[in-house]
Amino acid sequence: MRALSIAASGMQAQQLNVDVISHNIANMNTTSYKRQRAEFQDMLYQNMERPGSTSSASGSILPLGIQIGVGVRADAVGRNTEQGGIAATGNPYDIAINGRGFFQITLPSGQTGYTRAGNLAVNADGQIVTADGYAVEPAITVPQEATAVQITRDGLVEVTTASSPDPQQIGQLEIASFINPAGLEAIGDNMYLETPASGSPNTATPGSPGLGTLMQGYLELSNVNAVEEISALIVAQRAYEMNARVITAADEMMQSTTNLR
Amino acid sequence: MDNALMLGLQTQRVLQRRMDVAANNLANVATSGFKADALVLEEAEETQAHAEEDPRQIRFVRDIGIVHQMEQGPVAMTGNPLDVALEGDGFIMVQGPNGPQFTRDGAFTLTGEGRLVTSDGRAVLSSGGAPIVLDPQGDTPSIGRDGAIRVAGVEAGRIGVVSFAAPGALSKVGDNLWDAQGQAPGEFEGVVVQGALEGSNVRPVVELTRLIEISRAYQNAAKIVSGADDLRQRAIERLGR
Repeated sequence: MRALSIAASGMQAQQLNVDVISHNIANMNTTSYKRQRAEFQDMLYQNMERPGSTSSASGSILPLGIQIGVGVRADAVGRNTEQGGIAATGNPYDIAINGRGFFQITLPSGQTGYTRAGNLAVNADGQIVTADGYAVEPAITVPQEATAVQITRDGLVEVTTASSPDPQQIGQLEIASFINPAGLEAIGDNMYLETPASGSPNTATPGSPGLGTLMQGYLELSNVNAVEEISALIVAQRAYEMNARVITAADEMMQSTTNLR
Repeated sequence: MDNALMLGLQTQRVLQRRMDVAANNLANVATSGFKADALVLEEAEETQAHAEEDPRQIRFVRDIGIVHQMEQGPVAMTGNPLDVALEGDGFIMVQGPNGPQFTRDGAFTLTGEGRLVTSDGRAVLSSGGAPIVLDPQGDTPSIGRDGAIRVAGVEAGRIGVVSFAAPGALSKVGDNLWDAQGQAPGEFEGVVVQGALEGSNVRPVVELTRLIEISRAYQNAAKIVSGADDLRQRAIERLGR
């Protein structure tokens, strides 16, 4: 009986669905986290009677045919790159990107990582780094004597010192955008890598057409909506239970056959 | 074999198929754009097994086809600008191995080269039948109710949406795709909705009720088979005494 394996595929699909939803909920408070969603497809269909074949008894042509599907499979876990909410933190090194774009980060491996988590900091050498200590590209070093740092919407970094109260420009932040940001590979730590699916980065100063602007003193929140996730969780759980119910019913049917003798 | 046995077995065979169809519907309760199937049954007259003159007709149940229930599934907003739902009878054209195939699953993404594809990488076709390619440096595209894709106000292509006179006669090929079976596509009269997906139109309550019904009917059929068998066994025992 196919029903057993069909229902098993349904349970597996819903298990993956619950995994994705729970990952979203776990990252509800992760800076700039982008929620994910499992996509499903029906599996192939078996032709029991081809449409257009002749039915034996009356010689009439079957208009429909019998094709029985063999279940469901997950075909993709898509990422929703919608802008997350933006919250004020008051920290001068917290920078939110309002719009498309990613900060470029030099990873310890030498690769360039991309992140929207703008909870930056200054290390002992005065260099602007991520919360994990990785340098932001292009490298910007804040002088020791700086009393205030200002980052404009266009990514200009300016400092004032006790000796010179006029802001002095010390660097220019750049952000990168991708045609398909959902195709980036997530490697954890709020970090993404370029892939053939994402396309190559288009690097420019913030505020260029199609790119976002920077907001100093703000952080981008995750775009997870708790109400949506919880209702999706309930739907997934019910779907799982229904598939389990199919297994019970199919088992009862098989049992009644086995009990014939 | 005697009539009761044959009737019971044929009923069980049909019920097993009905069960497979219901199971597939329920497995696809979360599949975007999925349309529920139902088995069509008919009575078939057969001459009964007989050992005497004047046999009468008995009636078997037989499955003659599958119908696709084409009702609109629920449309839910996803917030993804490349998700597309159709409202109304229609299908989106997708590149298949031999010409276009059709889908109602509008979970689309872009490739690195800016090609609009389904979630498993098949090219979405324009109304002219060509793949749709967007500017890789462009802004987030907006998709109109007629399927026209605009990037920064400039039309970059139009998603090919067609309708069929007899959508129920299309056949499913899996991966959320349909084959036109030679039917010529016509004008789509519905609406394309950006940022939304059409859910599965499987109605869980109906399917679960059907499940119970099928499993009880199967048990009854099994009882007929075992009853007929018992009867024969007793007859043999008694007559052989």
